Amino acid sequence: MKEYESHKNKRKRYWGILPFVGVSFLWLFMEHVIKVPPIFLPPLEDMPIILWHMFTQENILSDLGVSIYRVLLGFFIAVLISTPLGILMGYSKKMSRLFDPIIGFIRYMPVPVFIPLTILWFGSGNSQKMIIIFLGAFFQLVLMVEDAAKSVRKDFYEAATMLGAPKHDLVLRVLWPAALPQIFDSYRICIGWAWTYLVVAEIVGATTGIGYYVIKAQRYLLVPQIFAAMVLIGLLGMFTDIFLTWIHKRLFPWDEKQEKE
Amino acid sequence: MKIQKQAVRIRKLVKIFPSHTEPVIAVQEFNIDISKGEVAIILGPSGCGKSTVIRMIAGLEKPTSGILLVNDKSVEKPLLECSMVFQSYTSFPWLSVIENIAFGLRYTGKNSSLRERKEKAKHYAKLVGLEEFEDNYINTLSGGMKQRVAIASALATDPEILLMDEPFGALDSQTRMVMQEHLLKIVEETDKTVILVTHDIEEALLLGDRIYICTARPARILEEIDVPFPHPRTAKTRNLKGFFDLKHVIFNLLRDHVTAKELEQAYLNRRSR
Repeated sequence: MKEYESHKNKRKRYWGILPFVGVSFLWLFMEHVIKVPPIFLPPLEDMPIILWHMFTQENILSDLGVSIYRVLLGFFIAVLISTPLGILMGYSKKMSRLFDPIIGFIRYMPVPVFIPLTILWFGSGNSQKMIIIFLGAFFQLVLMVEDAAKSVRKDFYEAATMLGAPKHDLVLRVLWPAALPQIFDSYRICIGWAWTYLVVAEIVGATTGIGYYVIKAQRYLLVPQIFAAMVLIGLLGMFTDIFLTWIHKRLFPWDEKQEKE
Repeated sequence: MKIQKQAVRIRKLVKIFPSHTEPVIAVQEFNIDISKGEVAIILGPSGCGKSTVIRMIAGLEKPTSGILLVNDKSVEKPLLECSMVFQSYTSFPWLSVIENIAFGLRYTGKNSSLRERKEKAKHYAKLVGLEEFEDNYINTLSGGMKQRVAIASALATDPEILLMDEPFGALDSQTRMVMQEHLLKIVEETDKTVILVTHDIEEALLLGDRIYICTARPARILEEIDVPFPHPRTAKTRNLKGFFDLKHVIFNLLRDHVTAKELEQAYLNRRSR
């Protein structure tokens, strides 16, 4: 039974490539049949050459590196603070009543709104970018971690209590391991949003980074470069996601949700 | 005689759950004495409030009024001398079988090392017949095996009193019979006090020394029955003639009561409309 299913899954694993092929054909169709001018839609065939040029001549790697550094650090700080706070709010009703309103309030302020203010306060360097990412990720993460903590089965706490576990161990030895897979999933989802905010921040005001590269290309009407940069960002996101999903499976082999997939 | 002292003493126990419409009286005027070493069964129809009684003994619910003593102490919070097996599978999925069984050993007060705890857990894994699955995660086990892990975890802390709240309620009837025999073997070997809540009459007769039959909500004692079958009991105890007779007596008792209750409820519902 299991062997049969895994065989079936193996065949379907690469289905995800099909939409990419579809989009490529659509691109070629627009380019050759509808004849969209290259200023709007650069030729797909030129993409490899342009990417090669970007890596060898324009040093796109350093821009990408700067962006990755900003995302990782900003996101890491957000994770570091939001995780314990979210767990506390998920465990204690008092804490959730205390913090829920303010977080709900700030969460609905669009992050780009903070860009002008943070530039005014911190300039347009790395620290301003990280603050934007932090603001974008933190308030979402707290609520997602809180939700994960709240969804831990109540009878696990009762069982642990009956086995003699004191209150702090209900958090450390029950809530934390039980909620961790879902918390980890929140990180995976949230880091995608962090990327969005970063690119927005870099487009508005920066002197390095992939977002800055895009706005620079726009100024010189280098449309192929804009497309190539977008492809790069997409690829980076996709591989981050695949990587984190893979880690998830390694870390939580016991998690029920992924067995069903 | 191994019976010397009262393990649990309950007098005029009442539990009322507040609700938006009208408060629900789950337990009313509940009186029982359970001796040390006894296997006491609280038997009653589903949803009769018998689980509430055992949860109060465990310290997971607070009584509304009445006296509830475990080892002559009033129960304020879950006591170390009680362990509990729940109906839902409460073994932790992030731990292996052996780690689950060892979970409570950390809190027994004896400062034992991880190795000693695992060693002890192994003993209990063997007791419930799971020695081959020690490193399995819980989700890889069947329902019956999950409950065996829960029983082993509960026993590992060496409690004086083992509380079981419909431990086999979620299992299919064949597995349930096998599990009852497993539990019977364990219960026959120890001198622990066992309090088992169930709606299964055969389970009650096979395992129990004394059966407390409960009325439907609110739970009250309808009848106390001493189970006369000799120890050690085995699966064959089911074939005794007295087993069938007693089963019928209890069944009729419960049926009359449940039917009367149902009629009353239906009548009330009609009137309130």
